[in-house]
Amino acid sequence: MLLENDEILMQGLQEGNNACLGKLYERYKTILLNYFINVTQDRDAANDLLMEVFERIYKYRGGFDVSRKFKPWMYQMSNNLLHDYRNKLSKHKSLENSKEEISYLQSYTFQQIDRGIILKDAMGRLSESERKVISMYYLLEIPYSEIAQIEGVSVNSIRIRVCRALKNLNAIITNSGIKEL
Amino acid sequence: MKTEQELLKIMDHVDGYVMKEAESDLKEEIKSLKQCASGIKDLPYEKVSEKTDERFQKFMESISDPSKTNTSRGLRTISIITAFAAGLALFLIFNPFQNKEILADFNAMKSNPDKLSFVYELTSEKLREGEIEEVKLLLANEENPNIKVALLDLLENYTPDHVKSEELFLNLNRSSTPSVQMAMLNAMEATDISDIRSDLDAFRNTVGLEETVKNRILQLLNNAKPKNLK
Repeated sequence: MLLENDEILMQGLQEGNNACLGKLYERYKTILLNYFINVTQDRDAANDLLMEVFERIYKYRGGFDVSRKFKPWMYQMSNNLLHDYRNKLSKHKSLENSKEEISYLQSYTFQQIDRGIILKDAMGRLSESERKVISMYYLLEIPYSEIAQIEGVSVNSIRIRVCRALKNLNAIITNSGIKEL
Repeated sequence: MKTEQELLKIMDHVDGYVMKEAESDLKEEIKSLKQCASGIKDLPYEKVSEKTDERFQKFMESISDPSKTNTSRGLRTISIITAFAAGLALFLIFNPFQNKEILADFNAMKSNPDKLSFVYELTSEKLREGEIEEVKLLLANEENPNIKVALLDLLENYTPDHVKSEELFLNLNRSSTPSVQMAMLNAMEATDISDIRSDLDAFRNTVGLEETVKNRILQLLNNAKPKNLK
């Protein structure tokens, strides 16, 4: 095996080898950043959340059970941070206002319309909980059973949420006049 | 308004649990939802900013053991011996002359995020020639645009010695995703493109090619030396 698995790295971190945290960061930074961007629609907040995840992994390293899988633990932590972020945000301004502030597409590399832009734009118009559930399933590829565990609901509830989110996404795309992605 | 049972039935088709054709009234809807789902999977990834990487580095420094930076000479000697022993052990375990089997490890991974994490981590490794060839094979066979971009970013570290412009151009011809095309052109930056100038120029006129991609090709062509000036 070329690279150590996550749990071995966590064990290394527990034993005082901090370089293991660096390896986990390299491994997951891009995926987690894109998850946070998709859910929050705010690049700066997503970068802050990414940092906080790794700070928390370090802080709570002792509480990780190395006989269990690392990823669900990390995703649970990420969602707890998203929850805190949402609470903090709602104290300062309504989510509706913040949505208007986010000019996700303006800084996008490709100015012409392509399916990525259409889809990102449409995703920005979904509710945060819808973005979260479809990002967990399609972007992070977390199985339904694990999402259900993270969210504390049944597998069927998650599948229904994913279906509703996809239907809303499809409706937004259709209403925008785009025939096909 | 559909019932929850109907929504679950739709998801059985979207997730591919049910392979037989859906009832005619659901067919179109399922097709559209499947398109949305595959579109989300292929959304181009954004890279972590240098600023965030720097923040992480600072964090790593802040948690490093302060005693390590304040060792006495004797302790330092012991550290050197320990480091040498550790290095030797690592050499024996991860013998650089032993095949790292990138292809096998990559293909054993089931999910795209796992594959991406694997490629990102390879970026911090020093790959040997055989391994670079394996990465090229992965690039040629991979379909997910984000993984392709990550593989190209990895290969960019080995240009121009181990990755030539002709190989990159072959892949450019096979890809229609702007983010992948841009990553390929970026990887070409350090290579000698004199032998593919005319091919690149012709590719620039491909119908429907993204404007940003066209401009990047033009920039590459303008920056490259003409063949007779090599």
